[in-house]
Amino acid sequence: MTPHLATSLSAAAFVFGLSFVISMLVAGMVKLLYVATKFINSKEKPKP
Amino acid sequence: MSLHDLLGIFQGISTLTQATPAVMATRIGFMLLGMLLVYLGKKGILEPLLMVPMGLGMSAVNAGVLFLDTGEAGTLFVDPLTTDNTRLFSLLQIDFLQPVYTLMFSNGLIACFVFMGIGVLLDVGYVLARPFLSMFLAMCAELGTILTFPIAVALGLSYNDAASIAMVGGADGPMVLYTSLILSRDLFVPIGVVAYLYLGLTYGGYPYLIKFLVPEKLRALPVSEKKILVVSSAEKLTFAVVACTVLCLLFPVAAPLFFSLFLGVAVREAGLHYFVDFIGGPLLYGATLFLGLTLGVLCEATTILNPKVILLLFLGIIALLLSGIGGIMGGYIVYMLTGRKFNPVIGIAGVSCVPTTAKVAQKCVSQVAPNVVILPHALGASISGVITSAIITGIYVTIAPLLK
Repeated sequence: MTPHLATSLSAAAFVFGLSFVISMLVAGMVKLLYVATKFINSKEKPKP
Repeated sequence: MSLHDLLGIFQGISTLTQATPAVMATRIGFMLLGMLLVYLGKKGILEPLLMVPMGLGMSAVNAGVLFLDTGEAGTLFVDPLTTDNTRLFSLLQIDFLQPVYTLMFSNGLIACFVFMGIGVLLDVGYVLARPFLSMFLAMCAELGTILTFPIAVALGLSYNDAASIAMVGGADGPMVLYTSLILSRDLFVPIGVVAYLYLGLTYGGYPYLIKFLVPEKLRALPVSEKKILVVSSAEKLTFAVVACTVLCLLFPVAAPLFFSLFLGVAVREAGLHYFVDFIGGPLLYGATLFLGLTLGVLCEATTILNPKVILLLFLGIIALLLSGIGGIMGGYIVYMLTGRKFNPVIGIAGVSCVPTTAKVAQKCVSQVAPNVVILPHALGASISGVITSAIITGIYVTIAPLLK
């Protein structure tokens, strides 16, 4: 295996890992926003 | 009057006869290919919005070659390879598409315009309803984007070129253009053409991949829907603003792309109807017209005659094939995790390209089970595919120049 190929394989693994983590963080942020909005809406007093 | 003088009147033919055999064959080949693209676009086999202007541009630019003042053969369409500012200023006054190319194409503006239009068309509610599932499927469908990178390096491409062609696996034209403009300016013409040609072909090819990898019984599997989440415009707008800010913070290099996409989403969810009509109508379709036209006229024989093109053609198809397989594998993983209550076909929708792959998935399911609706799940995965592709673009653009 050439050094270039080894570097590219490591880089590909890094890209996959980092993008997976960030994607899941975005998904988690979405879920958090959803729950927070629902919570805020449930606490709002009904208008007279 | 000799034959030579007569040919001098018809310079398109004259330049053809005086060119090297390779250039002559390529010019004739591209003229015919352009006509074929227009035909396939008209028939609906390929995307007509892109293929008709692109095909016509390809035929016209390879036909309309003449002898310039310098004595060299060239066209009055565009010169993408010039780096001299004085010559560029001259070209802006001579080549009729040079202003579009210089001021909109070579800086990625046209890709951002298309992305704004895509943003306006996206309903992120499908992602917000099932964020983890959609993002997981989208990440699986990036298999081609990830694996094509080392394959391309193994076949002799530089890290930057390999990252650019790998982005074809994300099946997002603007993203491929953006990455190749930053990382591989010398190859972005062939990479852009390969990407858009293959995106068209994929729509025809993915149904066969689905039928090959998913048995009819599983294709007919209904998706269990416990409850339908209603997501308000305010929630979608909040998501767009927060996601845009966070992603720009993480990947400033791809910030124009993130900004363009989420601007479209924000405008839509804020209810700014005048902007929605403008971005989703004249801006998107105008940008698509000039994108197709510019890609077509960039396919001039001398520009595209690069030994790496054959390699790019091969890598492009590998990237899209692997992404399709990865998406279906993701569908199978969710199928197993949910106790066989998930249709694995939905996975292929993660290959972005909103909303076409989602429609392809629904069409394949409807052929065997007309009453089964998977479109909401598929759209969620497809929209997430745009976001994951943008994330991977940001990572590649940031790390590829650092690799040694």
